[in-house]
Amino acid sequence: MGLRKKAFGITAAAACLALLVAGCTGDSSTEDEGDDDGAATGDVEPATVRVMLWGNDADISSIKDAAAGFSTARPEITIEWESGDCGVDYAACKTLVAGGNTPDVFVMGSWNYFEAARDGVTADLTPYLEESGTTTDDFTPAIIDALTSPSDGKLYGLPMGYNIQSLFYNKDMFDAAGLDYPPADGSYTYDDLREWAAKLTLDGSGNDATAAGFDPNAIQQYGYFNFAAAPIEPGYAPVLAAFGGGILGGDARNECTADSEGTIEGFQWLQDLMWTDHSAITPQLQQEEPGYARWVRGQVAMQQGSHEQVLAVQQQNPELNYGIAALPEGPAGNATLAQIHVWVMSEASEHKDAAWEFLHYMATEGAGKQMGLIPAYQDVAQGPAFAQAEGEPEGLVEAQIDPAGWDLTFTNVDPSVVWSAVSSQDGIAPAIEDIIMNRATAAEALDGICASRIDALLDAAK
Amino acid sequence: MLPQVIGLLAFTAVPLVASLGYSFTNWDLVAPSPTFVGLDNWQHLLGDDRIPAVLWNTVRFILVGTSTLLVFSLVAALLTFTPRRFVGVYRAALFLPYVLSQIAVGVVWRWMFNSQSGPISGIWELFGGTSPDWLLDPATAMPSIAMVTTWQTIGYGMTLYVAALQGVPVSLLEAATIDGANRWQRFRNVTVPMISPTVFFLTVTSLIGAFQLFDPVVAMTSASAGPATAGGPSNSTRTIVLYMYNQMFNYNEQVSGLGYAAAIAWMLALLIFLVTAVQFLVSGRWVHYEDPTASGGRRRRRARR
Repeated sequence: MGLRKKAFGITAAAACLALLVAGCTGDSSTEDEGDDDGAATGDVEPATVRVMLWGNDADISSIKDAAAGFSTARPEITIEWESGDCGVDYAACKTLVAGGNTPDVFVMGSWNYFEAARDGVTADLTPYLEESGTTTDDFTPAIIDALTSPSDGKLYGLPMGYNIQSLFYNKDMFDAAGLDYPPADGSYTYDDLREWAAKLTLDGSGNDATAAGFDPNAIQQYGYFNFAAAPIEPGYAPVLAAFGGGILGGDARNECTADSEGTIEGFQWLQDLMWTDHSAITPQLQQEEPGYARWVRGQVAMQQGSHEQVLAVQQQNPELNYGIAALPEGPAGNATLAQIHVWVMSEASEHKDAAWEFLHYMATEGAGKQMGLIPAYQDVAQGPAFAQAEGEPEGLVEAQIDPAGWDLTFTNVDPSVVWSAVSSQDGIAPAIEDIIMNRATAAEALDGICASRIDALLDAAK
Repeated sequence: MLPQVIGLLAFTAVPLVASLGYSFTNWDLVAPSPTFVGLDNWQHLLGDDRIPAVLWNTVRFILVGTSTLLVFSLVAALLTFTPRRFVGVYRAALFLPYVLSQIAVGVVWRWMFNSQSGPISGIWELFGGTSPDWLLDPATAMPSIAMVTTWQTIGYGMTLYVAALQGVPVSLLEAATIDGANRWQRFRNVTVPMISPTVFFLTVTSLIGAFQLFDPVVAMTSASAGPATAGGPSNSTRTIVLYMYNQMFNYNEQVSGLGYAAAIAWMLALLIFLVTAVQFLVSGRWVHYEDPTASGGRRRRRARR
């Protein structure tokens, strides 16, 4: 009897195991049906697409809201939302890839878009785009060009949208100082900006930074904030570009220009505002409270920032009377920086057709208001979904959309995959820290830095 | 017993051996499998001029962090050892930081150390000094981080010291008193030798922990991009483990990735083993494992009943 029971148990266990294996195999075969190597045809097998998002709650909600139309139109494709840092932080993607757990669709930042493409983590979307009827002409040229691989001409993602650096200013403070508002189209100079910043910086006695009795130890209102105080690239890069410099140059952004005249002048301009004029937020003040938050609550008159500031004002201080202008002209011209959030598809996805359908929808029909970005799908960007939307400040087109077409505007893509090393403590970071902390002038800090530090990193990455 | 053995094998032994194997490979975590490169990672490690810098940063942390932990946690134990009103509250307050997240602690102390309005700067200026830019100055950043980790772990050290102090035989202290020893002499010649095993234990474990410093540095020195940009200002707080992380994920040098990070990890493990072995070797000179019951001494705890 006992033997019979044991035999039954073994048989049952074997049967269960067989069922499990069959179940797994069955799943795989179902998934295989959706597998393909070619482009989408429009008719897609029912599938579940895993989509990974990052950002704050509002960012994630904005994407889910934008995807609602897709779920209605394509009920055969189920979207399974996940949260994770893959995309904003490429290290998180690597761990997912190593574990064989990469989501079908995720959002890369322009800063690591090419690293993922180089590693084969993201799929080539060029054939899918050709089949879909959508063309690259449907997107903002500077943005789609930036995402096109300079080495093979392929597209490994479609833009969710981009943010662009502009000048946000407090109208009440300008009125109180008797200053005209900055022209929305950027037809003013960095000299003008410096002068306004000084006049808008006030101490406890009401003296501005140009007055003889001004006390820099008792400042109540600051004139200017730039994220260079953090220090991060979206802060200092537009200034350097307008002065004719930059950390890296060349089409592939793999040539060191960190000790060029333009770079030195740009960094010196930033240092002078912080430490000579006392009109800009310093790293110490930034550490105490971020400069953008000071601007939102009305302690700083101007800041260089992206469209995220519009949302911040709406959420935190809707009474703020502010305006927006394109960044000023430097010795080399008007320049700004665009950062792109990119919808990408995993090369390892077993549901590429379904994943493409979702991704394509989100970059075209569903574009607009995702993560507070400017949609790169032009028809949407110019319409009520963005430029004409309620609550947007005046001059949005001139300050946020038109600068994408400036000659000196650039995106922080990294086609040579060198930026993480160049911007690190092994690269430019200690020199920038010395500049913004006023431990050295820009000329001293950057003297010979290409030969002494950066070139070796660029060589090592080849 | 079996579950523990399985757990030990699966989560400790296998990764340990695997990491040694990886140190002879090149793998960016994305390629389907690692590529065997022989001793390349190890040879590169020996010639990597960043290793001495990050090791020196780690040593600077140890010099401040471990020594202050040993001293201040003993002081805390001595202050809270004697039964008095609310002593439990004092001990709990001192122990509380130990259970907090290191990242949360780091974020709070970033503000505490702010030279504009941070309380530390405020206290400093009360004494007439000009506050340094604690976390923004290469000279003060690492000592500041070390003081924070000391503050966080002081409760742990205090707990061990209190237990050790309770084990000091009252008979020995009484004998020393009869022999004319004053309070300092009793502490120096009776208490310290009797708690020396605890001092030794704390020294060994805190040094091992110090060599693995990572979270507080990331929380207190990175701007907004996380570990990729941590380690400043001017490389002054970049520790060996942070460098290992950088090499594993963020760099694209010819020798980098998981294999090189594994080689760094094993170098660190060997270094910790060496330091610990030296500690054990010299411990015979100053650590006393005297059995109080052998001399018929009464334990203080027993005497209190």
